[in-house]
Amino acid sequence: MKLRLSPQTLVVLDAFLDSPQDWKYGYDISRNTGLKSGTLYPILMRLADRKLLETSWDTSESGKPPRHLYRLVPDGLRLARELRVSPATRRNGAAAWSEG
Amino acid sequence: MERGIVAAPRKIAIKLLSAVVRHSLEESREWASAMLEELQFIEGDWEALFWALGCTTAIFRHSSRSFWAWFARQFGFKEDGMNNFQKRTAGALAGVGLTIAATILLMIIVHLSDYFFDFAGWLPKIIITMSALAEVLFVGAVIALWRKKRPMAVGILFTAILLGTHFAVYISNHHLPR
Repeated sequence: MKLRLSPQTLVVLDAFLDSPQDWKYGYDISRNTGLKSGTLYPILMRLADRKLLETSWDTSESGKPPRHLYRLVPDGLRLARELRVSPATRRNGAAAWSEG
Repeated sequence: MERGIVAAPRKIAIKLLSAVVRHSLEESREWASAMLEELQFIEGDWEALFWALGCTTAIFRHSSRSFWAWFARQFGFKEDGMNNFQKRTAGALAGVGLTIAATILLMIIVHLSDYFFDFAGWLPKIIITMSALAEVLFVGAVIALWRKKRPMAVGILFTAILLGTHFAVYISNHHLPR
């Protein structure tokens, strides 16, 4: 299955590498990457569809609304790290990555 | 007072995303709910509105991808190259377009006739009759095209079902005694 690795997708993958074990909120990723929701969410959805990203609901704080959380799975982390050390791929922007 | 002015965009944002949650496909609903909940953590009202607009387009794209995947599965589109898939998609879209165009034309004719001849209380009955006639025509077209131009037939069938349902709901809500 092909994943289109746009420059924005690489930016999102990069954002997860800052603290790979931590869950992140959509709005925080948007602020940190500067990506609008209309760009960010399709990327998160594609990563989740490709089983590179796991999602969860944060319901820990009582009185606060539940919040969706995101974290890269090991395959996603591996891909993110491979691409981080490969700036040529990033410059090309639209490289394709095959899963499995 | 200022609060009243700035709160309006947030209200619109909440209503918009709530509607998206209600109407999104099953595959997209969790994402839509996530976007709606996330809205509450955005401080700026205008920022919330733009967030909601972006999220709406994201859900629309996700839902349409899911729909086309389902569509391809249902009607036997194989992984046999994009060109073939694109041709079939174009055929289906042509069917959808033709059906919608025929329906609009029919409605224009009915309403113009009403304008010139004044059907008075007969208009609902004429609309029902013309809708039924249109549905029969669409089914006839589907049968005629099924063997040679199946994607177009599927597009016509799909749109005819949608429009038929729409008319049935409209007529039952507006023109039938309760």
